[in-house]
Amino acid sequence: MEMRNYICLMSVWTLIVSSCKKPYSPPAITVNNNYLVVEGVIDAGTDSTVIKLSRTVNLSGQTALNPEKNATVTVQGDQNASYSLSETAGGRYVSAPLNLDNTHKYRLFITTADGRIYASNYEGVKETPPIDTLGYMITNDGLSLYINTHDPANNTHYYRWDYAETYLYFSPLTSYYKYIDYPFYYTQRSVRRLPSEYINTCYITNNSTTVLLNSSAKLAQDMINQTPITQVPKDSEKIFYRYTINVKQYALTPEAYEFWTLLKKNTEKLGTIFDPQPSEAKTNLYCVSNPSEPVIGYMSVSTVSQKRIFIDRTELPVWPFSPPECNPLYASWMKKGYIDSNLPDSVYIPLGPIESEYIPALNDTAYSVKVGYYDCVDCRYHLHGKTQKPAFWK
Amino acid sequence: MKRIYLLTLCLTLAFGFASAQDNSKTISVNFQKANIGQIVSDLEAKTGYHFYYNPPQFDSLKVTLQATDKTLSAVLTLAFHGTDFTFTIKEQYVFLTKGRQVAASLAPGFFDRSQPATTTAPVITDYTDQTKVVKVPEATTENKIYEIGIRTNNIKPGNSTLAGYIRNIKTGEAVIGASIYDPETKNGIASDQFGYYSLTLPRGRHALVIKGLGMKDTRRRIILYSDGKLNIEMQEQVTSLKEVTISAEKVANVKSVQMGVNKLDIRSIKQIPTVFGEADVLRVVLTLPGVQSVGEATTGFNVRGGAADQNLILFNDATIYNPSHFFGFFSAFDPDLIKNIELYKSTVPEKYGGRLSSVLEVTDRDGNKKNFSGTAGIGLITSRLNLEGPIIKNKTSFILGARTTYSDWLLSLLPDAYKHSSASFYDVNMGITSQINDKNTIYLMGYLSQDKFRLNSDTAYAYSNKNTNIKWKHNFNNKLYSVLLAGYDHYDYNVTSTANPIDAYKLDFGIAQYNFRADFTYYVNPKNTIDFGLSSIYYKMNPGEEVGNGSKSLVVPQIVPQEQASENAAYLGDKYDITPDFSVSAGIRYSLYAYLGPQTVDNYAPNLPKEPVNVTDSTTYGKGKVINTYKGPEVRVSARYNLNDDLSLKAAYNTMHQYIHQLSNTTAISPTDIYKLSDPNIKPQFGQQVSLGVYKNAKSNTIETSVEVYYKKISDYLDYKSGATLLLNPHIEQDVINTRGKAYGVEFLVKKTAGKLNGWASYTYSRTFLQQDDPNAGELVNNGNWYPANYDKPHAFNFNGNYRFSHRFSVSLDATYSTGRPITLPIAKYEYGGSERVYYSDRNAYRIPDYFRADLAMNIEGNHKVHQLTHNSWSIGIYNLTGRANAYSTFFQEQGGVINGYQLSIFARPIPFVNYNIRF
Repeated sequence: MEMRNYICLMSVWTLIVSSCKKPYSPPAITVNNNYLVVEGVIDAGTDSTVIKLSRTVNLSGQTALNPEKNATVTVQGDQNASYSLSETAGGRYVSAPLNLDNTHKYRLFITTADGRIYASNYEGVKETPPIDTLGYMITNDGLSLYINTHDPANNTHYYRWDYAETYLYFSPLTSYYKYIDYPFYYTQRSVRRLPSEYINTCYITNNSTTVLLNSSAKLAQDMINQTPITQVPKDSEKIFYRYTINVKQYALTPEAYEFWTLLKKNTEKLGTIFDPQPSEAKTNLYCVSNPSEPVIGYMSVSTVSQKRIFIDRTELPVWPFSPPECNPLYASWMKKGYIDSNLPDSVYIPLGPIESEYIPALNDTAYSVKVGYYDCVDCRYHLHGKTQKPAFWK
Repeated sequence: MKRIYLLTLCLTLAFGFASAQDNSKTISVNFQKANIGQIVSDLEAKTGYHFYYNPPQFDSLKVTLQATDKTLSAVLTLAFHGTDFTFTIKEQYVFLTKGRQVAASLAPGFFDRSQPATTTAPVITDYTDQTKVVKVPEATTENKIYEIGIRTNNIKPGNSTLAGYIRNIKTGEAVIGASIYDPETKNGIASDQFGYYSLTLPRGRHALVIKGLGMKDTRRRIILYSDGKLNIEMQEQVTSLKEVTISAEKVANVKSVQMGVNKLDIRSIKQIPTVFGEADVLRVVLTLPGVQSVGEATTGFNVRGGAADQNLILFNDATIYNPSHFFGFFSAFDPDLIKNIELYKSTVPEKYGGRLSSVLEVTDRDGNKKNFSGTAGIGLITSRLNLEGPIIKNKTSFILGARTTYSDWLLSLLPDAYKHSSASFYDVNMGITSQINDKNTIYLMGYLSQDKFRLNSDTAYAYSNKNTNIKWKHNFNNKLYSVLLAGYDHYDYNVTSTANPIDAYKLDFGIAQYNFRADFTYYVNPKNTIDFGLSSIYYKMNPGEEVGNGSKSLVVPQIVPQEQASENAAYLGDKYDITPDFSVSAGIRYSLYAYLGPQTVDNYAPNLPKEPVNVTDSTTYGKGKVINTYKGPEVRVSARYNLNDDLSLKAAYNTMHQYIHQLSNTTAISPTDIYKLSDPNIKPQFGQQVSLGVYKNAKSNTIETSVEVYYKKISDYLDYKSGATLLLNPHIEQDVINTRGKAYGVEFLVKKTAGKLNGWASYTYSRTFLQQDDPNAGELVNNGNWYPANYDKPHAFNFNGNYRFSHRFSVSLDATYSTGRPITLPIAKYEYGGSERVYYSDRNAYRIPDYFRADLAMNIEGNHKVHQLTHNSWSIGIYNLTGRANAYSTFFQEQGGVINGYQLSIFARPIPFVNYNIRF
C-alpha cells in the first residue's frame, strides 16, 4: 500500500472581500413627469387633519419639494358629509378637528388649480389603540427608544409610527447685548437684551425621516413589544441637556401597511447582495379625469394616539460631555472703526456693551467691543433652532 | 555460463522447442554462502537445465541452503526466499531475474499466421479479467495482439461487437468520454459516463486508437473473431503542466451530432483564476459562451436567456437545488473530487427533462481501486480533506471528501455593515464504486452540505442539501446495457430570530424528491444507437412553516400545507448515421405530471384576475388523489452534415417542460427563495429552442471554431407582481403573473487545444425579453410590454488563455467583458414620510455600467525529478487585475431625509492570491 499525501497550503491572502459602496449618479433622466403626491392621514379624532400636496420633480432637481398650491381639498364621507381643508402654507392643507363617525367610510377629494380631479378610495375608520410605553434602553452606543403597544380588541395588527424629537441647545458664546444702528455714538448702539431676546438658548426639533412599521399579524395577541423607534448616540448633542420625543401611532389597513413597506424598501435599503428589486407600491389614490395617470401616496383614515417623554442628562450614565466649542478666533475684540461696517449685517454679534475706555488687558485703545461670530452666538443658526420655548416643554 | 538479453531470449523461446518436461525430477543441494555462479553450475550439473541470468544483478546474492529431494522450483523458491529475485522455468531453460518475473509464454496471436491449426475446443479469451492482463508490462500492451471472441481458423466475414471499460491504469477509475476509434473503417465511439464503450467492427485485425481527456493516447491491436470484451487501461498525461483540454475528443466538435455542449475536465477548471484561489466549477461555467449571470456574488447562472431555476444541476445524478455556499462565493462542489462537468445548452439528451434551459452534469471521480491516497488542503477560508482507496482491491473503491470553513474572522474585517455577520459552511461527499463482476457494477453516492449565516442582524439563516443515490449498471451483452437508479434528494432552509422574545420565530422550508430512473442503451449496429428508458420523480414539499421560537413567543404557527406531485416520463432516442457524412439523432420524451392530494385548491372565477375577491370556492382532495395532470411530448432532434473532414453543419430543435418553479424577487438567487409545484392555478413552463451551427477545425484539429445561432421561446414562466409576498403565502397564484419570454443570440467560439498558447475566446450577442401576457392578471409589469430580463447582457466577450513559457512556468489570463445588466432606476423624486423618496421607472429600463474584469495567474513548478522528498509548486495571481469597481447593483438610500444613490461593487480592488502546494 502506497500512501500519498498532498498538503496544499493556500497562503498569503491579503485584502479579501473588498465589497464596497460608492456614490452612484444615475444617468441624467429628465422625464416630463410631475405626478401628484398626496401625503397625510385623515385624522378621525380630535386633531386637525393635515394633507400635503406636491408634485414629483426630476431626480437631478435641487429640492424634492414642489408644492401643489391652490387646490381645493375636501374629506368626503359615504353619507355625503363633506369637510373642507384650507391651505395654510404652500401645498399644506389643514382642517378643523373632524371627529368622524367610525361607522362610515371617508375619502379625500382634490381638485387642483388646473382643474384635474383626484380622489382616494373610501376607507373605513381605523381606531388606533393607545401607546402603552414609550421607553428607552441604555446600550453601549447610547440610547435606544422603543414602543410597546397592544390592542385588547385584537383588531389593529398593522402599525406605523412617526415622531418629533426636540432638545435643548446652548450656543457656545452668549450675547447679552444687541446692536442697533440709529444713535450716532457707537457706545449707545449696544442695548442690553430682554430675556425674550436671548439667542443662546434654542429648542431644536427633528422629525422622523425613516418609515417606522411593525405588525402583530403573525402573533397570537395583537401586541407590539419593544419595537425600536430611534437611537441616540451617547455623544450626540441631543442629550447634552434635555431631550424629548413625541411619538404618534397610526393603525393601518393591510394594504396601507404594504404601501409603506414598499416605500421603505425602495429607499431605505442596506445595499446587500440579496436586496429585493425595486417595485412601485400600490396606491389607493387615482386621477378621476385620467385613470392612467399615476398618483403617489396612500390615504388612511384613522384616529391617532401619541405619547411624549422627556429625558434629562441627569438620568443618563456619565458619558463624555463635549459641548460645541468655538474657535477662539471667532470671539474677539473688534476695533471701533469696524463696528459700522461689520456689526449691522449680524455676521459678528456683540457679546457685551461697546466700550469707550481703555482696556488694560489688551493694552490697546483701538479695541472697543467683544464680539462673536454668528455661528457661535446665535443658536438659531444651528439646525434651525427656535428660541421660543415650545408649549409642551415642561 | 551464458548470458543473453531478454529480448533475444524471448525470440529464441518463440521457436518453441518441443521437449519432454521433467519438472518432477528431484535434487538435493547444500549451499554454504554460495554465490550465483556456484549455485548455477551446481544446479546445471544436477538437472541438465540451462540457466540464463545477468551476473551483475546477482552480485549481492549469497545463499545458505540445505535441501533434499526437492524439485528445482522448490529449491529456487527456498533460495530466493526473502529476496526480490525471481525465476521462471520453461522447458529446459531457467531464467533468473531481479524484480520482475519473465513471462515465459508469448502473447497469444503473436505469430498468428504460423499458429498450427488447433484441434482443441475453442477457448473464449476474455481479457477483461484484470489478473491475467496485469502481468503484461504496460509498454508492450500497445504492440500485443488481443484475440477477441471465439477463435476460429478462418475469420468469418461480418461484424462483431467489442465492448468493455476504459480505465485509468493508476487509479482504476473510469475514463469518461474517451474515444475509441478504428482508423481503417472509420468507426468510433466515445465511452459513456461509466467509461463503458461498445463498438461494432468488421471481424478481423484492427488497430484501435484510444484518446481520452487528460490521458495519453494509446493503441490496441485486436483480432476480432466474434463478440467479446476488452478492457483498456490508459495512462495519465504527465501533469507537470496544465494544458487546456476542453473537449474529450479532438474531432468531437465537428463530428458529434450534439450541439451546444461544453465539457470541461478538472484540469481546465483548475486553470482559471478564481477570487478565493480555490477551483470553482460554477465560476468556470460562467466563462462559457451563452452563459450569463447577474453578478459576481451569485452562482446562479442563466443559459441562453433562461432563468437560473431552469438549469437542472445533476451532481452524480442527484439534483442539487442550491449549488452555492457562503452567499454564492463558493460553489457546492468540492474541486478535489470532481472529474469533469458537462453543460448541455441546446441538445439535451432524452433521458433528462424537467428544466427548460440546460442540464449541468457534475461528475466526481471514482475512488482509486488500487492504492490508498489522499489530499489535504489548508486555506485561509476553507480546509479540505479527501481520502480514497480500495475496499476490495481492483473491485470496490471509495472516495470521501469533506470541506469546511472558518470565515468568521474574515467577516469581522469587513466594513461596519457586515460587522455583526457570521457565515460558515461544510460539505461532505462520498462515493463507492463496486464492480461485482463483468456484467454488474454498483455505484453509491452521498452528499451533505450545510450553510449557516447571519447578515448583520438578529436573524440567522441555515440551509442544507442532502442527496444520496444508488446506481446499478448491468450489461446484458455487448450491445445492450442498463442503468437503474434510485435516489433521494433533499433541500431545506430555516430562518430563526430570537432577538425579541415576543416576536421570536423559526421558519422552515423543505423540498424532497424521490427518484427512480431506468436507462437502457442499445448499440444496434455501428450506425445506429438507441437509448430508451423511464424516469419517475415523487416530490414532497413543505412550502413554509413558521412557528414561535421560545416559550415567550406569541408567534402563531403558520403552516402552508405540504404539496405532493409526481413527474413521470418515458423516452426513446435514436442516433442514426444515414450516410458517413449525415447523422441524425431524434428522440421523444413524454412527460406526465400529476399534482397530488391531500390539498385544498382555490377555484377562481374564469377570465378574472386571480385575486382574493375572485375566489369562487375551494376543493379539498384526499391523500394520494390526483388533483390535476399536465402532460406532453418533448422533442429532441439534432442533425449533422459533414461538408468535409473538418467542416460540418448542425441543426437542432428541442422542447422541454418544467413543472417546478423557483420564485424570487431578488436579483441574485437567494437561499431563501421558494419553490412551487405546478397546480391547477399554476401552469408548467414550456420552452422550445431551435439552433443552427457551423463547426470548423483547423491545423489538425488543434484549433476549433464554431458559430451557433439560437432562438428560444418560453411560455408560462412565473414573474412576481409588484409588492408580491412569496414566502408563507398559501395563495401564491395571486402574487405571480404568467410571463412569456423570447431569447435569441449568436455565439462565436475559437479554441486552441494544443501548443504553447492554448485556451479559448468567445463572443456572444444575445437578447432576452419577457412579457406579461396574461389577459386576466390585472396590473401588468410595464403595461404588458416586452422588457429585458435581469440577465439580458447583449454583448459578452470571454477570453481564457494559458501560455507555457517552459515546462516549469506558465501564465494564465482570463478576461471578461459584458454589457451591464438591466436595472430599474428612479425617474423622479418627491418628499414623503419625512424624507425624499424616489419613483421608479418601468422595470429594467436602464443598465448598470459595463462589466470588465481581467485575472492573471502564474504557475511555477518545482523541478520534475521523480524521486524527491516533496514536490512543490506555486500559483501566484491577481483577481480583478485592473481593479475596476464593477457595479453589482445600484440602490437608493435615505440618509437624514435626503436620498442618495449608491452602487455596490463586490470585488472593487485587485485581489492578489498566492498558493503554495506541497505534495509528498
